Amino acid sequence: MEIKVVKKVLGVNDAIAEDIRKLLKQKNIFMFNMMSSPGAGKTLILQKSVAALKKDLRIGIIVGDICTTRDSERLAETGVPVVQINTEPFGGDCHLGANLISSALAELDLDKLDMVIVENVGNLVCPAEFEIGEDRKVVVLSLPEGEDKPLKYPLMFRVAHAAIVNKLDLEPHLDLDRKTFADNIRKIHPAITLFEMSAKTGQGFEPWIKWLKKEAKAKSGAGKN
Amino acid sequence: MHEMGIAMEVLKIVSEHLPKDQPVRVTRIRLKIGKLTAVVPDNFKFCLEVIAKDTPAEGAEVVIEEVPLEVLCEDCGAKSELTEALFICPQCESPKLKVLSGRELFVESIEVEEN
Repeated sequence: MEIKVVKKVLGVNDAIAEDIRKLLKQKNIFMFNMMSSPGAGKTLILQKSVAALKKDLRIGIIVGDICTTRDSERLAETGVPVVQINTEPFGGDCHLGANLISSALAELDLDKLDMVIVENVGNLVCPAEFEIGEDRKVVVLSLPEGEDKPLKYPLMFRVAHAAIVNKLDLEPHLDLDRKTFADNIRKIHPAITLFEMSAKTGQGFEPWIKWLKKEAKAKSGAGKN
Repeated sequence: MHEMGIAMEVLKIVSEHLPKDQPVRVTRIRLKIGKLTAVVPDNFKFCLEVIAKDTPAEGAEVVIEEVPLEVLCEDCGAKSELTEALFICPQCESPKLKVLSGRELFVESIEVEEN
């Protein structure tokens, strides 16, 4: 006997993501999901972003890692509330599903926030598949990873709204052409918003901050003060 | 490696669709998986087989229909199948493409027999 099912496998995740989206809309909170392979520089970008934004925006951070609280300790130094999710007790999952984001949001005082930043588990494959109710997905790629990565991980670069090419300061030491990074990203996603920066030296950082401010403002209006 | 989590969701969906009034064995699970998903069919099959042990789906054949990555060109209007993930229209080389199919991840049907 054949039984017709026709059901989305990630339907449960998508439904929770939709609930999160509604909750954030109601609270006028802009949420972005930052993804990259391990070591691309997400945490340093976020430390500096929070430092640049926290005068104007009230920020909360959700950090996902398989193990350790190292990233959340670094981010907590910025003085904003940080919720750490370790996926290891759940079987070492390689991404943050909407259910985990939903419980993490419950630990933040959403009435006092304008922006929630999610630092996803370092991985260019799995997080691309899971909606978490975010307004924007941002992918970070660093020069030492090589210019072929967008072509090797097309889904991630296709779903991302913005891409950051990081670690420009290493360009003189590497045998590659930075323009190829941008070209390859645009081959996968021509309309993507692209930033080139060195979070370490601050080169190219300003346009990224401006973009975040603009996106947050578009979502939350004039703020909550 | 999120195939395991996805396999668990599939098993849950399968068990929700089994007839309640009689004991059955699942003989086949049919799935649709798009080319533009982050799911590796062989890994996924393996995971599903492992976790189906001691459930009505133990030993079920997993049949995966891969859905091609189809795009519509917003400049020339051509519909094409992309065989590699370079988002350029094969007809006119425009990068303005809309994805028509390829993101599917569905349980299509299951086949059961009385146990």
